[in-house]
Amino acid sequence: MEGNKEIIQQISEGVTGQVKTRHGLAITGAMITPTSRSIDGPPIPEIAITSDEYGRYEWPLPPGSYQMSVFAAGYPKHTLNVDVEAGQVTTLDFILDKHP
Amino acid sequence: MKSSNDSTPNRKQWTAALLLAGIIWPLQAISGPQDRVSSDGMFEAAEVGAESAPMAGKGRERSESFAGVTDVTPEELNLEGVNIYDGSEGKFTDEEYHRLSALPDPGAAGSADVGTETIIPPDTRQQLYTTNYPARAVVLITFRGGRCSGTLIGHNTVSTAGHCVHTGGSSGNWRSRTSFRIYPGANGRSTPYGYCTARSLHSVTGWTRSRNEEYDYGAIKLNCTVGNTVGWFGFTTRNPVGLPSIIQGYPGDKPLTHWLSADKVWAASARQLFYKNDTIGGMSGSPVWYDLNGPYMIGIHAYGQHGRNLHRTYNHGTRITSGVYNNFMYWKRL
Repeated sequence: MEGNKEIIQQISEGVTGQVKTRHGLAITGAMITPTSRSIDGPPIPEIAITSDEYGRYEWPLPPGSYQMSVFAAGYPKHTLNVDVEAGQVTTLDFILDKHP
Repeated sequence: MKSSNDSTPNRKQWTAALLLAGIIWPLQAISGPQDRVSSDGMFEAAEVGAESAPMAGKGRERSESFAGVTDVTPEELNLEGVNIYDGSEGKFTDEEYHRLSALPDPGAAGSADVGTETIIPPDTRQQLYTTNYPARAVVLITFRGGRCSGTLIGHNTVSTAGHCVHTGGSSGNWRSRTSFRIYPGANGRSTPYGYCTARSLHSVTGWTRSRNEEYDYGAIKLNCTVGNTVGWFGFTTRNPVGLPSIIQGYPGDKPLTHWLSADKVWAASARQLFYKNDTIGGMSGSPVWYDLNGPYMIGIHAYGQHGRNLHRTYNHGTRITSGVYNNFMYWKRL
């Protein structure tokens, strides 16, 4: 329920957003995985970041260019590129379509 | 009238001052990246000598491991502060399982290439069954927005990666302590030893202020004493190079099941160790261990391949140096 959103942003640098269906419904338990687009990329912790009951996720990441992939049961892998600037939180939402 | 030079200390005064400094200095704590910090605001500088030469082979500290007990009833677990799901016989609720498992169908379309950068082909991971020691002393850690792995190192203490308890760096934050649940020996829907909550989260300033991967480790103090039942791992500062390495935990591409990968430690730097064990998101905090008449951690898994040189070739984690060892011993006693 939108009205019950408890938004406590823990990160001050990285990527945050929502994972939703094309009908706007939140997808819970999707796993979001960043990969650096730079050969000399920074360390990315091997933590499993997952979307919550509102579809939200937060990935603390150092500045750089990343490919963000989302994996959710019943949906094909979906990948988007994103840049993170120093001291900034970039918003990146995923809209997933079910497998045909 | 005094000259301006009268206030300058003479040789005797300098000597006295230096002697005094020589007496006091060893008693002082050194402020540095191994300083302990916690979610309840506690800050403590590391003791003098907390990081004695890890490569010199001097450090051979070794904590004890404990295999736990063979049979335990839910009532006995409850007495140790463990939470057991009412009426579900030690299982995740459907809602929790769906929310936490992320990818409930192994091999489902879209799941095959999760984090392929850190599976060094072929995928050598094996599934474990978790009511045996030491597997049951490895824990699934869940919190708001993610999950990790960890290891019981005492009756109420879990070791894990620093990034599993704090997002890292001076602009980072402690993760939501009240959202933590720690499941010893979880296996799919089964939680044979229930779960514990977190009393406090701990790490060091090298991670919480500097986000330095060399200091990426931490601990969780539990509101239970489940280690008395399931046992715990020891940890050692022994030189890890060439030792067989086992990493086991809860990979994010599997439905809350427990997996192991075996290899060896190919290289070590002063504060990290490097291996080809297959790992993936969710394995952070897993023990990197070998059998020394019992399971002994030599590191805490934290990263896949990135950057250059050893970091590009191997997966890697935080090495148990004397500084790490001392902090784990301190956190065990809290």
